[in-house]
Amino acid sequence: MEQRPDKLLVERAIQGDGESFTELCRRYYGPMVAIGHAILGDRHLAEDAAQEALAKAAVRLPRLRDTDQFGRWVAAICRNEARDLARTRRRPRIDEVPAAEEDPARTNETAEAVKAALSQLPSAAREVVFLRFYDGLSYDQISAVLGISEQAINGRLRRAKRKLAQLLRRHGFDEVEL
Amino acid sequence: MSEHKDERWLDQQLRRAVNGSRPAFDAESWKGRHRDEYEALLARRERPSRGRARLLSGRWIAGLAAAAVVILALGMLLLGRFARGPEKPTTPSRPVANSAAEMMSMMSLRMAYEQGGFDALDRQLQNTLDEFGPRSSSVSLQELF
Repeated sequence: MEQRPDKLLVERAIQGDGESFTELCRRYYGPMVAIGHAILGDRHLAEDAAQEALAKAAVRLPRLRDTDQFGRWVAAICRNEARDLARTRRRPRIDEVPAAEEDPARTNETAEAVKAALSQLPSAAREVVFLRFYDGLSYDQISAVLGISEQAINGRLRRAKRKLAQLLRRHGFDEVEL
Repeated sequence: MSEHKDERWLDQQLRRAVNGSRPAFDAESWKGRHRDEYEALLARRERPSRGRARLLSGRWIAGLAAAAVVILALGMLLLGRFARGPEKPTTPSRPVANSAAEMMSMMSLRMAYEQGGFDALDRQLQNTLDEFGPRSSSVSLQELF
């Protein structure tokens, strides 16, 4: 089934159509959680931030002028919400997130180093990494929330990875080469 | 640490670090938690849209302004009539202009009106017509000035 364009859903939601707004929420919830996760370093808090942002969007929707820019607009609300949440709660650092299931000492050491390197990335770079490595997020979704082309996303991602490799080398992973 | 670590290795590590399984939006739970906001959205169904409301209120204000202007104009007209009182009967007065040119000047017409109202003005205009009327060609320059 062909997906209805955001613009149409937004216009209907502005007229008070709850179903259209719910469809928009389903469409952008994933990227919003990824953005919140990149800022907060915690999946549950990220979900809270995304849900609060959607609640604000429901109220402020008539103020949205470019109805085809919903993704970018709601992502900006989510970023602000996550930053507010980070200020009010103690922010768990990215390296505090539990490591993956495999637990040999070396794997754990690598995971810790990667998380530490991620936490040192500039926020925009960290955001694109989270968006790219969250399961099931398409380039279209990432492009809609960042407001940049697929090519620009790849460029930003490449720079982020180069920076990560550099940080990892500083942490003793000399053999990381990109 | 001798293992070569390329982009693929880094992608794998990042996937692990991000650890982001696809988040699913639970609409019913969200609507329950944010009932006020969701109802505010639904309430817009009953209201006219902002643009339409603005247009309607614009028309309403324009109509109101037009009605106010008409009422004000009528009020001023009636007030002027009552303030002036009924037209006074005029008493014959001396002519305010002697020559035809003076008779036609705005100042003389105004003076005639001020002295005797419409009757005096009418008289002056009649005098002018008498001078310039069918005999206008016979009026000499001396009579004019």
